[in-house]
Amino acid sequence: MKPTVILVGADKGGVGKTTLARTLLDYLSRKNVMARCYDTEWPRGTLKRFYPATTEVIDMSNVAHQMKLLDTLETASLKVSVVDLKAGNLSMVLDIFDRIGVLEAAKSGKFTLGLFHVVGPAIASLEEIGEIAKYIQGTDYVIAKNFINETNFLEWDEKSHKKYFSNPGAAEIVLPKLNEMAYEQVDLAGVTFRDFIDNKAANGEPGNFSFVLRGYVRKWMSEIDAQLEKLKPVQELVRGERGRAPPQQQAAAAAKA
Amino acid sequence: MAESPKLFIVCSDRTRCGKTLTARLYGDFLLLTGRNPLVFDTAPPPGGIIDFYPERTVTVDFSRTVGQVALFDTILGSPTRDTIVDLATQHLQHFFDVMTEIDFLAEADRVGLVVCILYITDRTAASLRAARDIKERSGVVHLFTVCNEGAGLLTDRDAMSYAYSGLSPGSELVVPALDPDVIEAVEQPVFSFARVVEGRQGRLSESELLRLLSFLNQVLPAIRQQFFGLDLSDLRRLGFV
Repeated sequence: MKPTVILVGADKGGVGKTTLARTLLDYLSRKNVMARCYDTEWPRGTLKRFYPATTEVIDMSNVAHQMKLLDTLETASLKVSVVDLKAGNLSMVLDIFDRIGVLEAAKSGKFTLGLFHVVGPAIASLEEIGEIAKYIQGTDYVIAKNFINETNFLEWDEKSHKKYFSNPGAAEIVLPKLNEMAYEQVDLAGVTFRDFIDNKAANGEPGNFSFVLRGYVRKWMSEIDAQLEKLKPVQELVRGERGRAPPQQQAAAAAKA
Repeated sequence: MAESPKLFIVCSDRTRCGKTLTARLYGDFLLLTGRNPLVFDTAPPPGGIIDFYPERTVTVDFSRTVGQVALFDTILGSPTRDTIVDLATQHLQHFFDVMTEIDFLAEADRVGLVVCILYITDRTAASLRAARDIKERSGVVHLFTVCNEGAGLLTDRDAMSYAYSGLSPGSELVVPALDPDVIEAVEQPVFSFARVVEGRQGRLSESELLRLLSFLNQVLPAIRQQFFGLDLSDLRRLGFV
């Protein structure tokens, strides 16, 4: 299987990057796709609170830390790496990747690079879509609209909506809103969403979480699952088809052999 | 074999139709049969069911998540206890939306709790349609309509028989109208129908007492009949019948 790097990021803060990274990791783990997790909120990471055993906190501006992620893609036992980029890091990381040839390598098929770009309703957040457009060629680019409030992402203004959401190379998903109290309870418990639903505490013992709040999280997760199931790259990853040659090439290779 | 504990959700799409009166009749029936019901009051004070069961009532604001947690988690936390929810009309839709969203019925089934809706209808078929809609949407198997004659009868009951289709047939509870002076007495805080039956309720004239006993003689056997029906259906579900 070809290595896969999935970046989850945004330049604006508070749009739900870590939340999306957590739901993605939950989803992949339920589909038996194990992933390495990198939290770039150096030196203390939020993601690490929920995935302490598999998360490494790194500083993406530090070359040694970049090497920890990029130079181990081929040799690591886990071929999927999910990177939760801290606020303000998205453009910087893409720029570094561009300069050191990571984007080029992804474009040429040496590994797969996915980018979940989380956007909130603020214009500052939407402007980022245009700003990073130059980097996304050759990546699996997904715009994740986070419905933090009752926003409609400018759908009422066709011109403005088109301006931000007309990239033919981008897939789109929406992140539904989770009940605040449920979100706070999961945060407080420091467990994964899946463990919260299963009423399992951080130490692996049975938890004492509210049935109502678990129900809210369960419903919310099922809605996010439905969104992730729409994404072809994610489904190919789940089915183990990422990195395989297309069927015609496989057949040709077999015939040659 | 012990009877399964029951959760009664007393509700209507109409206000001032006798929800709290109905909830009290079921509450007192449970007390008379030696059970220990827990009561939830979702109406803002004053004058809610808490006035009649101050020691066994939990007041919740269902519009807030914390109220939803207090209600559903408490019910599931004491699954051997019968519960009555006096549901304020303003929470009707939201209550069943939340119930569906959190998949409450599956958990209630798992812990052996029988869920039953007591839906108070009014003079129009619209109210029956609303009851049917709630039953279909919530997935609750047992929905009994309650016709409170004090709040008004269906204008043309026979012509509206179609509106009853889909609801539990033949299981409607008819609550006869009470005389105004008796109503005044029974609406006094901490008044108890159970104490009337047990001969312990003071401050009633002989005439009031007779009329009240006649009322209870009609209502309580009908409620008992519904309980038999619910237990029988539960036994069928468990494969005993």
